[in-house]
Formats: sequence, C-alpha cells, structure tokens
Amino acid sequence: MNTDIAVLNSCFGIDDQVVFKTISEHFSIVEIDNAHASASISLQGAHLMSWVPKGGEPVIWMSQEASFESGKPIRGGIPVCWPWFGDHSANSSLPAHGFARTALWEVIQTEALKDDTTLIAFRLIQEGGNHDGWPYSAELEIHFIIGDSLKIDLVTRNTGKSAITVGDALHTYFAVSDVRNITINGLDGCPYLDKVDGSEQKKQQVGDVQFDQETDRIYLESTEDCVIDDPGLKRRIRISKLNSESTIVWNPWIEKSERMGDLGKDGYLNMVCVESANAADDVVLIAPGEKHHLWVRYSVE
Amino acid sequence: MSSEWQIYIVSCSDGSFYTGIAKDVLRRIDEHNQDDLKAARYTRARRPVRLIYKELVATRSEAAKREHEIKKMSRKEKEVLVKKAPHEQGFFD
Repeated sequence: MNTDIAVLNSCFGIDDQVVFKTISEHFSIVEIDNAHASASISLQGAHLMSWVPKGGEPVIWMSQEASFESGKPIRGGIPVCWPWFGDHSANSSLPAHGFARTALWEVIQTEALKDDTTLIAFRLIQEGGNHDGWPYSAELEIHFIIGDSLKIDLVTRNTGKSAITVGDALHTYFAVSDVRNITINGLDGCPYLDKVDGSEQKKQQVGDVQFDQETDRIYLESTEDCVIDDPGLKRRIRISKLNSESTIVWNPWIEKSERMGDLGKDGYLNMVCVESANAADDVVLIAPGEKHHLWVRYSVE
Repeated sequence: MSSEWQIYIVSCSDGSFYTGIAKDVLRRIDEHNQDDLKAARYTRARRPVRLIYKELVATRSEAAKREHEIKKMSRKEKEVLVKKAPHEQGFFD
C-alpha cells in the first residue's frame, strides 16, 4: 500500500497544490490548495477532513476532539459509509457503516484541472472473502474535485461473478453557526424513518427541517437539492446529488453527544449531518461488471 | 497485488507521456524522478513525472504486450485511455 510519503509526493504531488504529509504515526493526509479553496483528505478512509473556499469559512465540520489513529473512525469530515449504511443487516457486531471508512485507500490520480480546480482520486479494492459480512468482490473509487464547489463521485464497480447489493453514504458533517437556528429545505413531503423513536412506520416531512432535539432520520424519495440555511453565518450550503434517493439528517443533541464523548464541548451545536445515500429501501443492486455512481456537489451561496 | 505486473503512463514536465511496466509502480516512478541511474533516459530529461494511469495484468509477458499496444497508440488514443475516469464522463459538468 502506498504510504511512503516521499514516494507519494514524487508520484502524485503537484508543487504548491497537492502535498502529502504524515500528521501522526501511521496516519497520512494530503493537503490541497488552489485558487478556489483549500482542503485536506486522510488516506485512511479517503476521508475528507476539511474544505474551505477561499475567503470563506470552513464548510465541513471536524470535532476538536477528533482522534487520528490507524483503524479508528474520525469524528467529523466526510466519512465514506460502504458497503452498508448503519448496522450490518445480519450481524450487529460488524462495524457500523461498513469497513471503507477505516481502510487505507490507494491514491490513483491527481491532476491540476484547466479551471484551476484540483482532482484527486482514491481506490479501495475488495476481494471476495476479505471481510466478514461482505464476502464479495468490488472496486470502490472516490474522485474529489476541489474548487469553490466540492464535487465527489463515489463509484462502486462489481468485479465479482454475481450481483451485489450495496448501501453507501457520504456521511458529511456540515459546519453551522448554531444548529438551533438553521433550517434545511428540500425534504418537504418526503417520507422518513425516524431512528430516534425506532418506529418502523414511515412519517412524512412537512416544511423545512429544524432542530430542537436529537434527530436521526432516513428520508426516502429524496432527490431534490437540500439547502442548509444558516442565518448566523449568512450562508446557504447547497447539496446536489445524483443516483441517491435517500438523505440522512442527523444531530445527536446533548445526551447522545455526551455518551459519544468525542464531539467536543457543545460540539453538537456547530454541526449537522446531511448525508447523500443509498440506504434503507434505496440500497442498490449492481450486476457483475456494472458500476454505480453516487455523485454529490456542495456549494455555498 | 505485489505479485502482479502493471502498465503505467506518466505525464512528463514537458506534457509528453511515457509508458512503462513495473511490479511496484510507485517505486518505479520515484526512480524516474529521483534516481539518475535507474530512471529511463527519456524521463530523466523531463522531470518531474506524475503518474496518470495504471493497469493491472497477471504476468510480465502480458504487461510487455500491453505496453507495446499502448506505445503504438496515438497521443489522442492515450488521452482517451487516461481520461476514462468518472470526472471526465460528465458527472461533474
């Protein structure tokens, strides 16, 4: 696996634009800086840790208590959930949200694009039998284009001989001024599963989403852009997507964040997860040789 | 993966492409960039080179055959090969 930083910089580094570095033992990141934005991505999980458009505030939230350790999930940023979302359907002792977010990915491409944005792509090869709970073969790639918008394409290619079912999500933590004052629009009329009350009966969203308690919902039939309206930061974050009909909205609120222990003091106030996904009824079936793209674009208005 | 051969294409500092084969592509490209003895003469004169494409095959003879095929391609054909990544397929437009 390509973890030698000098070799990565030699093969994929771009002067003043793409630089690989080690931030702690066994934990390496790549920093991207261009005319439009700066960003950092961990090689573990191909996990985007920050994205800051030039002259703007950070759009992605990272916990002040986040730890960066080999094999441990990172609290904040954009965890990649794959090949299942949430708990494994048959075995809850398997890691929640699958194994991609803690695996070491391979860098496959970097490029300074003509419009002064930067492309960086990673790959994770899964060969049948490597993982309990998912004995299939697939190739997973994630392509980021870092600019004044952030574009992500998560591509699953079935390299096995039988069809596979995949659940996936970009579990994005967005930075907000105060979750109690924001609204999310774009989900009006969507049915949702409320994971807080554990009900299997679907409810229906009426109007915008607002927050005054723990919120953990899988919205279905969700294909419209979601917009996080944040009057405190005087900005709107637009989330556009393709090939995803489910959106998870999550904030752990007070008690749960205390139990979790790594959100930082009052951290829950400054974040909201709006996750573009293929989850619940929306998991995808991929035939042998075929591929599925989960595509998102984040922009600030 | 280490027992398999790979064909790679690098982009050189003058914008030209160079195609080669290796078992450990990243080490080989590092040699092109850093090692005056082991680098190819072509890449040594066009540093730095950056990896833009690689393809896995099972054996050295398959790799050599595919390398020959790619080396015969026109610049345009090589660009198509390199650019078949998702961001070039309209998802980001």
